[in-house]
Amino acid sequence: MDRILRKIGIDAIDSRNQSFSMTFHPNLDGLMRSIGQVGLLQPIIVREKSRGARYQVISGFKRLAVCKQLGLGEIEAFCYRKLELDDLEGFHMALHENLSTRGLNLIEKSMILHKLIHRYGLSKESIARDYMPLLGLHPNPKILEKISQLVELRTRIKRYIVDEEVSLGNAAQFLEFAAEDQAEIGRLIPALKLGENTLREVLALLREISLRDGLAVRELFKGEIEGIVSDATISRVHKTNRVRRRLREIRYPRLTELEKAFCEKRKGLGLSPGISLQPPPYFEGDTLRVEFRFGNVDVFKDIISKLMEASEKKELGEMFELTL
Amino acid sequence: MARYGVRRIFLDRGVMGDPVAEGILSESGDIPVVLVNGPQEVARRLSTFEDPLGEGKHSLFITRQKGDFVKGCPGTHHRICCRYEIINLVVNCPIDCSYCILQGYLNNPAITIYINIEELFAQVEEKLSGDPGRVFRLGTGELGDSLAFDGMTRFSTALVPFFTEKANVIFELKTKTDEVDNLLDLDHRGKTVISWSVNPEKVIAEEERSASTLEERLVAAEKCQQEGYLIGLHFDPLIYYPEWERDYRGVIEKIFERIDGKGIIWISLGGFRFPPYLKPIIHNRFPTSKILWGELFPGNDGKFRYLKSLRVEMYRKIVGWLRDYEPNLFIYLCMESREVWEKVFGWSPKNNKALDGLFAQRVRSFSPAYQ
Repeated sequence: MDRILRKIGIDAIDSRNQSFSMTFHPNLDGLMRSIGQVGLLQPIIVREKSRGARYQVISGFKRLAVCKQLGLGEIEAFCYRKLELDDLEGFHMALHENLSTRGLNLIEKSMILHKLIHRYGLSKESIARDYMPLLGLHPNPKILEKISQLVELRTRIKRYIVDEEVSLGNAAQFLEFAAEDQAEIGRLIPALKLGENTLREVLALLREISLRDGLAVRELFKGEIEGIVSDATISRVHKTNRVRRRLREIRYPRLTELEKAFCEKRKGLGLSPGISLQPPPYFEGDTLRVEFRFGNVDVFKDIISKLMEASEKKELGEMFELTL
Repeated sequence: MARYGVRRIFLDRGVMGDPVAEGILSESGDIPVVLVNGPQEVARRLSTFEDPLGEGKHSLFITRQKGDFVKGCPGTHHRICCRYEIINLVVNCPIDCSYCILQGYLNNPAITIYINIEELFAQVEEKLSGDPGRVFRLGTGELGDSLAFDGMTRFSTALVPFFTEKANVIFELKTKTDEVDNLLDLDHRGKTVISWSVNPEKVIAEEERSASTLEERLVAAEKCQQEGYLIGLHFDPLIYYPEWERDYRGVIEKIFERIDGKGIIWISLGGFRFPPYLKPIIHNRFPTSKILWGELFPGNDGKFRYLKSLRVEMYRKIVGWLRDYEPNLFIYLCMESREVWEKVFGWSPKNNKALDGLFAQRVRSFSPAYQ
């Protein structure tokens, strides 16, 4: 294959043809500054086309976009003749060029695997064997299945996955929601501050409530949750805690009822804030746990006297009843 | 057997020509037979399927048991357990229950049939003679369904007579099927209990794929009772859903329409519970199952269960409905804590051995042979 380095007119390139693109949601600011200051250092790669515009981009979509935005008329490119490079060879070349110059995010890996399956018709076995290790993925057909589907998620969700560097396990959870529910979730979650564990929990709660109650996520968000999310006076962390709590209440009404009743009884005991009195985890055991700290004998005596007072109150016995 | 859609039989080369293996093959019709070198090859072949667990339900593996046939039920920590002894003669099950713990418990997805039944008998005799004063309860229905393939293996025709000769054991066949034809003419002498797991038809239809309906199970139980067998019932797992009270009452009504309560030797109750590893398996294999929608939380044995208050409510009500029909039923809880026993019955066995002793009393009350 002989490629020729030449300057070609940007107008002669079909920039709408994304066949070989493997970039999602690029940030062009850095590249814009670089090309603006020192010009294009690395030529793009193009292939002659049969009709219309004369060239199709193999690699260098971002560079081309920046050059266009900068108003350049020409761009330096390695050009292949029409029959010199078939589609899969072109894709391969683009893949290796991307891999050698940058890291790929999860959605970009998904785009690549999806194209290998659906556009180039490669078998899942050969993709798992030949391509997944290149992408830093364990060559497992189930992982291939999961990742290749991520490209079908709503754009907002895909952006969230990339921006928050969401793990594959959590990203795959989004696939379990219908497109309209994904749109709602895509609207909600950027307003929250979710780590991997809390994201997993929130998505599981949403899915389980939605399935159990036959509710679309949109209906579930109406009212209180919508109010929490749109409240400009509270922080993301605070919103997150309140949304999680509300979802748990909806998902676990019996547990919530027990917790609230326990809390009421505890208030009735009149214990000072430094004394913690807790039920067994999930009310499964039959013992309560009391914890306190003291810095001197007087504080200790005061706590003991408060506990003695509490022991005479009916609420304490009622708390045991709650644990059955 | 046709209902389970067996697609292949893996025959261990080591048992080719064995008369028991040949007998099973002769009953298998035109199901393709694949010769294999041991269980690893079976597991490897099944691992190439998209759903190895599901495919394993359609694959039999005939081999020889090289380890112990008889093992104590592992039970669970911090709970009262009954010291049941498990016979692993057929391991895994063609019935595909969403909640089945075997999905994550076994390392080979095929249904394994062990043919060296004489060695099983030797191991049982050794076990029984090791503690002649104890009344053992042994059963084949923990790691598989006792009767699902009995039409093919005819194991019951060897097992039931074997136990008639033993003084300190009662044998239990536990099933979700109506495969009782082989049992009806056997001379069991009251030493074998035939037990059914029961659930409302709705739960069976939604969560117990390929199992017999409740009606079919109860018709089979009625036939067995008519032949003098003792009957056991296992309400396990009890599944909570909004209409559970109506539906479980309905189950109990149907039971006593067909079964004489005086011939029921034991009834177990066990709320749905599962180890954490089972949740993703259920989620992936049974995406439409509603079984995980309940309020299920981890206990101090690591297993998820319904809230204790809910379990106690379910157990109390079911015990009440059962005793309305037959006040003297022997009802026990499977893998529950002392506090739950106390809340349900007003008392609790002191420990596992004490519960085992209560079973012995119950067995003796049914047959002078155990005195």
